[in-house]
Amino acid sequence: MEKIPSHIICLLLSSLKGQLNNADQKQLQNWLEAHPEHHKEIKQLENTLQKVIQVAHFKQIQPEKAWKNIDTHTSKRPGWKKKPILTRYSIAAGLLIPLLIGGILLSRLLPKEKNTPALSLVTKPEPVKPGSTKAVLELSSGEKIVLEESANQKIRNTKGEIIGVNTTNTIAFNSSANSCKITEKPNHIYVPIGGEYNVILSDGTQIWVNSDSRLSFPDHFYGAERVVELSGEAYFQVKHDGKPFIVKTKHSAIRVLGTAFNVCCYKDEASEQITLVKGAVKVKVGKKNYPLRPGEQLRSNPDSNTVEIRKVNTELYTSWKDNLFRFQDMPIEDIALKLKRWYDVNFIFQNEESKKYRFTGAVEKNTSLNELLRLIESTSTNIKFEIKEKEITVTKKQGVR
Amino acid sequence: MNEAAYILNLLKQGEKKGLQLLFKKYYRPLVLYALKFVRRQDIAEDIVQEVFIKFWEKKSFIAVDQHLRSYLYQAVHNHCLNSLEKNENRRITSISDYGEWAEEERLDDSEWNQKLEEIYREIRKLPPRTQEIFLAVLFKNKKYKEVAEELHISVNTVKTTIARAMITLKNNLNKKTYLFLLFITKNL
Repeated sequence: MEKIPSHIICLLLSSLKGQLNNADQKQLQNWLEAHPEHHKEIKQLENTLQKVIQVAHFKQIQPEKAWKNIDTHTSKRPGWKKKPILTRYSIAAGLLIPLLIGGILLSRLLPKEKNTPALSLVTKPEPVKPGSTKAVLELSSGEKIVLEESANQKIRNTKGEIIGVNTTNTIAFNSSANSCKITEKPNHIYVPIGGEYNVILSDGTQIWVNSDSRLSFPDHFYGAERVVELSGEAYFQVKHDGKPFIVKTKHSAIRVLGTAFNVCCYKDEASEQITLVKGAVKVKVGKKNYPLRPGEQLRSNPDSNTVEIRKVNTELYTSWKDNLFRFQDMPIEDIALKLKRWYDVNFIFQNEESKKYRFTGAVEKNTSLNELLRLIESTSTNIKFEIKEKEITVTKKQGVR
Repeated sequence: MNEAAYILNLLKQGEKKGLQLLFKKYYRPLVLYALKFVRRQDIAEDIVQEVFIKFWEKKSFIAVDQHLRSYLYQAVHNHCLNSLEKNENRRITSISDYGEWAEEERLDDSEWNQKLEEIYREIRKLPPRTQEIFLAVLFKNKKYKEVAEELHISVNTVKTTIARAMITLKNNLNKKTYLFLLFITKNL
């Protein structure tokens, strides 16, 4: 086996540093595809390079300077400064103020317009906005609280005690069990279509909850097992505390000790999928138990009473929590289901054929739907999307060879 | 009382020393984490600094309890995603890089130091000329042309030296793991 050429290693280095232009990136990709025999070594090199780059960054940081900056921008006592400071990366926002002031002065100097132009009757269609973080928390008492994006919303139980805090997109529950076991009734968190939210349970377990989902969980885990219920989709990072953690879905129960996995059990989908990223889980479907290993996915179809386990690229099933849509060779009708939940739109397929076209790609979730659909259109000669407010019509392109 | 509880106590009493200790424990690791998402170190540092400032002013420590570590990592993650709205900040690497670090990978400063010392030592073991070129390109961020001109060698020589050094490091680091594993299994 030949050695990897030096210029390829250097391209790899530039790529990992984020300094590669498109042409060079393509060159690197082409070489990688043409030489699968080197993949293992390339992976190892990437690994090593990553570490070297991290060392470089680590050594280049000057903590004293950074602390000085933080110290001068914070008050002596916490909470005294009401306005957050402007930092370098938000400098665009900082420039807005002087521009506005200039704008006002300028308009006073302009001669008054004689006729105001008539409003155009054809309005530009508003791009369909992506989803955002939002959720509703329903406590065991029945009280419903809308989780706002603002920072530090304190959640209290019926006794008035603070049981959790909501900041930006995460709600974290306290671990201290002050009160004795009053009620075992669970709390529920509803994430609507177009929403997504993070929950940190009282035991430290982190759960990313996807759109159109509901998670039920108690204030504290008193018994010998920690049990939660899910309808929809969530990614779990379970903290190991000795007690088994069980996720109940409509058709199965997943049992773990401490691990990371994705559960997808939407009511409007035919099957439930459990994807294991790390650790070990045992999935109970009906009366049988199915252990899973990292990289495996269990698919259970209650209608056909089948259970299938296969190896998958787990990232395809977990990237949603990292603000990415990823699909590999996925039929457009399945893609449509995912988009429907995030963008809150409906897809109408003109014919059966158009449902089956497959696509591979990755897009950031905060892209507008219009852009995303345009991207899909541009990669295919077969498909066309017509966007009318909240309805998307999918047609087969005319005049296809 | 362990360190985390001590820091939390100070914070709850409104003592800035608590913030400083928290900073010392997590600043550098959080900057490394932010660098997974944004391209420039100065932007990564700005983001993490803002996280600490907001943490103090919004008194986020009040209900975070012992989840300080995961809270900070999560907060940095969110800030990074917000700043990725601007294209210039985005780091163009493989998509798998957008993933968060798992809990076990969310280390503090001394844990990171330990982890990185090993690599730093291996770099120090490279022959002096190779090391000089390597450090210039990787640590001082000099361009190949710059280094070539300074040392009166060709750009090609710089590239081949870097490539050779990378292979050496890769082999040595992997060998260590292998030997370590061998040692473990032999002694079971």
